[in-house]
Amino acid sequence: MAMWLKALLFALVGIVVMLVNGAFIIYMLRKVLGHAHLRLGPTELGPAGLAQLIPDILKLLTKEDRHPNQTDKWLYCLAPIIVFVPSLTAFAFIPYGEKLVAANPNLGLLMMIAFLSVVPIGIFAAGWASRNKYALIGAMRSVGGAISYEIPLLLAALAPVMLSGSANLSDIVHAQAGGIWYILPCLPSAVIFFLCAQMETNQTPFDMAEAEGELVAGFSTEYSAMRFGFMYLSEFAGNFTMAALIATLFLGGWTLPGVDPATMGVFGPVVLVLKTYLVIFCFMMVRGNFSRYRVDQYAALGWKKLIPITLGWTLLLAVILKVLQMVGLWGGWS
Amino acid sequence: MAEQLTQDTTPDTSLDILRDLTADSTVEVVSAEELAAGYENAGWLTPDGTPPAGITVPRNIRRIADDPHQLTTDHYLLNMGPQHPSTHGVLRVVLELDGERIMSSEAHVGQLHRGIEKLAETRRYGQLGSLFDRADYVSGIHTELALALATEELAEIEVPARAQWLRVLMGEINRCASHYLWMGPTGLDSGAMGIFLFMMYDREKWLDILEEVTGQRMMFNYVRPGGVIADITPRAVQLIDEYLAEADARLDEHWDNLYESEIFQQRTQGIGVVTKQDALDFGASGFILRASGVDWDLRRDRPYSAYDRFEFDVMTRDEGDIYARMVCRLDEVRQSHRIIRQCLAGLPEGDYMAKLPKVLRVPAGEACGIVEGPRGELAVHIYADGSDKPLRAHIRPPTQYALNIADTVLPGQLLADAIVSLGSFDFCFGEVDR
Repeated sequence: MAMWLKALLFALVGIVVMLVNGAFIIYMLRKVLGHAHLRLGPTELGPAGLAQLIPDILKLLTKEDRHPNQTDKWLYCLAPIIVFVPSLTAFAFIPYGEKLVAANPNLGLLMMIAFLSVVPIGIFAAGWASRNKYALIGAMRSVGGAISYEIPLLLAALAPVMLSGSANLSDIVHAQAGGIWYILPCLPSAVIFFLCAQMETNQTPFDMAEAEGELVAGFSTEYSAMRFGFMYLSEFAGNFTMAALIATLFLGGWTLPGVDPATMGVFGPVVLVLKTYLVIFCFMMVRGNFSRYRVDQYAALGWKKLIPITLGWTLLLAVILKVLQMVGLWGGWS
Repeated sequence: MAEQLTQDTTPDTSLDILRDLTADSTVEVVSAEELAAGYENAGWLTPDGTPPAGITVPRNIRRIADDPHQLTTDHYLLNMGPQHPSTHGVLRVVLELDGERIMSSEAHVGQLHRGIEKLAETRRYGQLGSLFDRADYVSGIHTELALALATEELAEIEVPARAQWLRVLMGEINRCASHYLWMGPTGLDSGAMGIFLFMMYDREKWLDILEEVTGQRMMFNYVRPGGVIADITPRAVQLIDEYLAEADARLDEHWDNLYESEIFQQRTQGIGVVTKQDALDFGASGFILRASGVDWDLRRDRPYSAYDRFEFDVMTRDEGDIYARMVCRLDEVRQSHRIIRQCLAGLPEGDYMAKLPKVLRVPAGEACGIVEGPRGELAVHIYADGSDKPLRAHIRPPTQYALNIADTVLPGQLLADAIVSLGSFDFCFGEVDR
């Protein structure tokens, strides 16, 4: 098969998986938040309200694509794409099984985070092009947040890299399959990564860019129809990607403890998706119950607490690993 | 002017500036000289050195830094409301912002004006209740009660004891329902979605009981001159008993859920502070006054209906911030539970309505009925000319007075705090605009 055909196939499968997945996360969000709030969520359409998604998507597709008068037209149209494409691309680096990984570069972890870092640029473009003060405030917050939280995010991701000796996501998974899940030896990193992932995906304690009660709908205030749909979808895609990254880095990815990775077969993707949804469930429960940080407290938390803590912890981990290696308790990288 | 300023002020070290910029945004009152310096730094003086016209001087603006190299930024106006999701009704606030920091604010009211007071001049006394219910639509019983008190004072009507007790009972139930409609959304303003729906559960329970007794969930028209329109039913007593069995435990749960949450505490403690003096100066009443350390409650200090027969505490806090107001009101709900229990235990037998003529004629004169509503002191003032309609009826809405404080509290805060601060005064625009 020609190389380009293979790539096209991967892309198509990726997009379909992403759309189905986004739809399911929307359904899950409604159900989980509903039950967390003593409500039921959607119940009427289809079994347990599952078919509610169809009219919702139809609504997004058929609504008027509105361009407010003073928007920067090109940027306004481009922004949803800038937001959507990187979160779709980041999908490609997640290993779902032994061979089931679309792109497997040596620095897969860095590539993935690099792609996710493009999203705030799109959000800023959306806010700037909207010519709306609420959107602009949301956009500024998003950029501020990206600056404050991507440093601890990367530092926290260093711990699995140090333990496995590779920044390739498949290698990290294999290293965990042979030993223990990295959430145990580097719990602080996992917790900090979880917090930063919440920020990256605009979840409630850190949902600065949207901040429903304050900024109406933040950066997406002026967007309607499918352009808004893309923003929405990329938020959920980012949600899934981040959760999958957490599952891969700290929860053993597609492997199970005590099971030979070679025998996982089709269960690999199932295991990974289950782990991912477990992480997403945690995101949602936090989202349903906690207050939102104020923007200065949020920046202070990032700069004054998370960065020093992650720096110190990463250094400590490095020293511990070195000592363990010298004593002979840790075999180092194979 | 600018050069002189540069010479006069010693530049802070960069560390000081950083500390100042990242410090929590608690509002501090600064002296007049400091304020003027802050103004000049913010570029608010016109070339001849006078403050630009149309900008009100905020009383407690926070000076950011006296650094001559400070980046000067343009201020912009943000029109918040009346369609903003968090202005609780139809408040429109015009904010002057520097980044996200509020420099000045101006509240505009009147979007919900329906001419209730003017319409009242065309209604008979018996019909006024259903009109005044629409003023403060969250606590209808209290507006009706103030109206009934004023009318009864003019017409010298003797109200039966059972009616007095029923007024207290339904008033307290309505108070609980109203408090829940404020505490939950204040949590929601700070971003906590769950607590809003948890508190709606309690509000629903109280509304069910109100519906059982009065037939309505909001516009009750229950308290009339001379008594109340319906007796309490056995089913309502059963509903109250059932709910009260779990009510206090639920309050503890809300406390754990929201009040103990560290993020919520960070968002509300030390924010939106109303000093004792400000609260008194602006004519604030009710929970705002009590949260600022003034021990004053009409139910205890100037009892109406049957409140002198009940045992309850007046809850006060000294901090005056949003958290204090939240705690104050949660404690008030607990006290209301106490009053409701006492009410059910000692409800006297007898009529619930005095014998009155079909068309009530009130002798000429004026009277004022004042009650302690959920939002503060709620008064209805009636001028009567001897006919069956009032010559003039006026409602004194507590939150209109609280609204005046907002313009003093907001400057210096961040935009996110403004939402919670505004919400924390519990404006009900039905009664502010009338």
